[in-house]
Amino acid sequence: MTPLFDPQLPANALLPLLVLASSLVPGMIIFFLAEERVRLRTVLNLGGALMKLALVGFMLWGSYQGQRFEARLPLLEGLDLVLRVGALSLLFLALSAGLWFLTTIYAIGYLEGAPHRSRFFGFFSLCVTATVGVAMSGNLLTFVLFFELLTLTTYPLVVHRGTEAARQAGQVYLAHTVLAGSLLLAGTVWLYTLTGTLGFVPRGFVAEVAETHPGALRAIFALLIAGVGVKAALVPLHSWLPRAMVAPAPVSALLHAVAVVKAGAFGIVLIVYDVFGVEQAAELGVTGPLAAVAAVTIIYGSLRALFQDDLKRRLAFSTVSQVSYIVLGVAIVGPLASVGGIVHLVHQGLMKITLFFCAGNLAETLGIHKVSEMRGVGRRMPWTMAAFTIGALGMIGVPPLAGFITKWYLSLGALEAGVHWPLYVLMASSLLNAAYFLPILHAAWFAEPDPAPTHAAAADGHAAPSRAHAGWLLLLPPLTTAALSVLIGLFASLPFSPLEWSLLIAEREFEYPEARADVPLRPGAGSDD
Amino acid sequence: MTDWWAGTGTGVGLPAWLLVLAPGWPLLLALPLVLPGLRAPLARLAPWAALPALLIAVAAPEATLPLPGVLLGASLALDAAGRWVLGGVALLWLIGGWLAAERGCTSRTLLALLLAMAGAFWLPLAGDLPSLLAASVLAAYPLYGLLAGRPAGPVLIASLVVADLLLLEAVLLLLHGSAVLDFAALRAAWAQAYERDLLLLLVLLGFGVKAGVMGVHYWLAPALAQARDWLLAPMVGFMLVAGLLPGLRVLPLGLVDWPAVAALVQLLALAGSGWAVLAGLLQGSPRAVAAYAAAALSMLWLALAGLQLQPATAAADAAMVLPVLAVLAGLGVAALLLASVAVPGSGAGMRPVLLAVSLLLVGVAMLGTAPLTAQAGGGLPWLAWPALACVGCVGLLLGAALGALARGQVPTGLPEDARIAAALAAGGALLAALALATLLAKLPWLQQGAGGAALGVLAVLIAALGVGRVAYPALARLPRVPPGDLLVLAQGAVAAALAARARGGLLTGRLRDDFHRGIGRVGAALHRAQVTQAGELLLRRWAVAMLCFLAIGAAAALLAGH
Repeated sequence: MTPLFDPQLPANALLPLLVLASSLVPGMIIFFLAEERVRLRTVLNLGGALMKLALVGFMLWGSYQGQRFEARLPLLEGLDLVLRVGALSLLFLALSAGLWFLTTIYAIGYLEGAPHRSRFFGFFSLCVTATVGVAMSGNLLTFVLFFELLTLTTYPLVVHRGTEAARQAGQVYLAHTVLAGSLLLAGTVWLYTLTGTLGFVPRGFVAEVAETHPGALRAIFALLIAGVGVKAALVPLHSWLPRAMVAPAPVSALLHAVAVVKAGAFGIVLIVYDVFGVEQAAELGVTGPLAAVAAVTIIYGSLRALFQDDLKRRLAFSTVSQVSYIVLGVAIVGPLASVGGIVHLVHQGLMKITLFFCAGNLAETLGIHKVSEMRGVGRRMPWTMAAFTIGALGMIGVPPLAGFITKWYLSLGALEAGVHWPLYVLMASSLLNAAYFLPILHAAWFAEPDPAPTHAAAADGHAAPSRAHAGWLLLLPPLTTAALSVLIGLFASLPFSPLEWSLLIAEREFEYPEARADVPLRPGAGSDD
Repeated sequence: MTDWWAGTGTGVGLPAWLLVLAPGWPLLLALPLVLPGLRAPLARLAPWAALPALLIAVAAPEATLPLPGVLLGASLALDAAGRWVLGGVALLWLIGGWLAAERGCTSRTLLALLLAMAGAFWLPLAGDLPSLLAASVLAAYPLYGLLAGRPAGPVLIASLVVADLLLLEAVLLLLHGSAVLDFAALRAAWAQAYERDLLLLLVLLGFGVKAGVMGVHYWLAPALAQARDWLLAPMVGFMLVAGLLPGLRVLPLGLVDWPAVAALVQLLALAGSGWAVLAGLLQGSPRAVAAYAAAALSMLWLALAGLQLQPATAAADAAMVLPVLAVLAGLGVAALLLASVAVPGSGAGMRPVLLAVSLLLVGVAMLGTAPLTAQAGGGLPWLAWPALACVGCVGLLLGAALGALARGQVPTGLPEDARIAAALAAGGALLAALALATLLAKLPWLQQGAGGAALGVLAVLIAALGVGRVAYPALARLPRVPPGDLLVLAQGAVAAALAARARGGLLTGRLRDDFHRGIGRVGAALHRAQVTQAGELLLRRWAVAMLCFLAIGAAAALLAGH
């Protein structure tokens, strides 16, 4: 029997495994903890999250210094389970590790006194394990395994409340994701039979068969994108997402900002970049349809968000729209657009998790679930609404917040690629974003509060408010992510910023600066001309 | 990775770092406001928050501070035009801050005030486009908070959102693959720009909204009519700093030869000025009349900027002179607006002083336009006339504002207003003197025989002032036009639609019954929410969703020609 773990592995192979273990081990222990072991569970949760943050920080520094991190475990004949950390995976890893830490803090505060916390945090940790596994996947097989593990670990979180609505939402979620998983698997197997390899490579590994099997490759692309597109909530595969809003706020935050939706978008990036190669994909003619689907999703999601009174549903449709910015950036085919798409992985995550944290605070503290109930909440919960305001303005793309950087690069990238229509899509989306976020801000800050605060949430099927005020455990995470949304926009050009990492990734994908030095990526790069 | 801290190198001295203080000081005061214990001491400091900016404008040498780690590689720069605008806007904010402190305001209002102030001081110093956009947001959006509760607030915010989107679109189209983000690069990009007429339209609309250019001016008169009195001067400053100066920096003044566009801009400016006169003369309040005077001034600057779009009528140093003139005239309008709230009895008759200062400042600004129109007259004489007519329109509206002030009841103010008004008067007079000196040095029009043009401008202005002063009371019997003129039509349509919707449908009477009986069933099925809800329900079925996905992909592939 092949040993699972080789003790002789060099240190740079251990780190990816330790990153997995930092959430897997605490999660497995937490499952067996009694409900009343609050302190130990908290220590395990936060200890794991902090350890993961430290490990990712170490890898970030090591990667910057040129170190490679790769663990290879034999799985099938000729196919290994490969965990590899590159610039792209580090970006997603850093996002996952950072936001998991904050979401854990939030969830500890949110679920204070609630039942089934050991089950919740156990699956919560497993969910993050699957997410970082997706981030570090070194080949398509590893990706598929962790991607499906993500489905299985998030289902119990979606149905955690145990209500009929939660059960139905879970069913829809499972139906979508399992069926999508089968398509993903089918595409993966087909691709393996065609190419004989599944290992992710910069600029893809299908070039050799592209001339002989273009039709098959297009079909495989469709299968793979449909497989990951469900989690990325591409229209019309998105309808599980608004229903999954019945889950507790930390789960919604995790689904939208870190785990499921983001894993889907990340999967699309991997398929386009490291399986097909973006330029090969463009030659096959598959990026155009993908861009069109992304554009439809951006507009449709925004339009649907406009008419939602339920706050979390409005945010969910906003996610449907915003995540497709990533897809659009990748599908436009150009370095600047890629930068915009990739950096939005982080930007959208930070801004959207802020909004969901705030929605959770409003629901938990004031019993507010609907936009129409938000009159004057800025006076009652100024910190929460200040964070919400930053998140919402960032989503609109207001400078200097993070969303502005995304839209700037996406738009410039479209022009660089010689297409104008994405500009109009982004412009329409920004207008719609403003139309569905600004009225909330107006109601919260400038409208007179309702004379009788609403506490009839239970009548609508929502949980009644359970606390008099939002404690610091509920306030710290949204304030932190809101501050980060400002800082990564304002200081976008600092070293190690998400934008700088995205530039590195784009340089690698498009062979900068040697091959395409005619198109400067960084502002100021062409100032001598 | 970027050399993000290059700005700290030996090439950048202390004067350059001082520039940070102009927007930084109000921000520094604003951030601790969220802590209850610090609110009282900060509230005492807030009225003076504009002082560093004013001192920088007066005393700091020209400097550039690169900040490569900020945004997409930002910089702060103080140049000649920026100095004038920063000085003028700082003076206006200083007065606004003092008045706000006298009137008393909540910590939330103070926070919005300081944020808007920081943005206003960042704008004239912004050395690159992303900084300009960010500063513009910081200067503009808190104004909504300061106008909260007033109907003008939503109009302002809607106008700003659209304006910012148009500007972003224009800037991106202009840059088109270039990674250089400073104004010089942008001005140079016009020459090779694709669809430059569209771009010019986007830029004029985008900055025009903020400058109160007629046609996209709908927020201006309601905002100035409804704003609290301490906000009046800063609002005028906002027009200068967010609309006019950036517009002049982005447009390729003196760098292109677009005779047709130049002529069109002149005609548009003339038509807009006429519109401002018609709407302004029929306003009910002095503030609203003054707002239309401000809009007419924007049309004048547009006309003069238009002259710079072809070599035959372009003047040297126009890009520097126009902001100086605009600052003078802006201070004049602010003095006029403050005259509508200052009390003669409480401050030894400060209103006449304010009105005198207002006329002096606007007069000097109008005189400063003479060399520019004279230059045009030398090349293509007919192109000078629209600008001269715009001067006349400004004069008419100023005269009308005097007439409105003479008729109107002035609200009672505080004794402190007198000191504030005196400060504005002294500052304004000083600026007027400085401006005259600068203009004389920059534009030796007297030596070139342009004195005739100056006399002409002066004659038109005085005559128009007189006509406006007489016409306003004479037209008092006519029905008044609400501030924002055409805006009332849009508001009426929206209100009617909302009322009809509240009644159960947009159609009424027999037609509505027929609609409900006949095609109503189909209409209801296609009703937005029902269709989308039904669609969402269908899409929860995997097979339907997958088929739709494949259909979209196939259609997109076909459309893409694959």
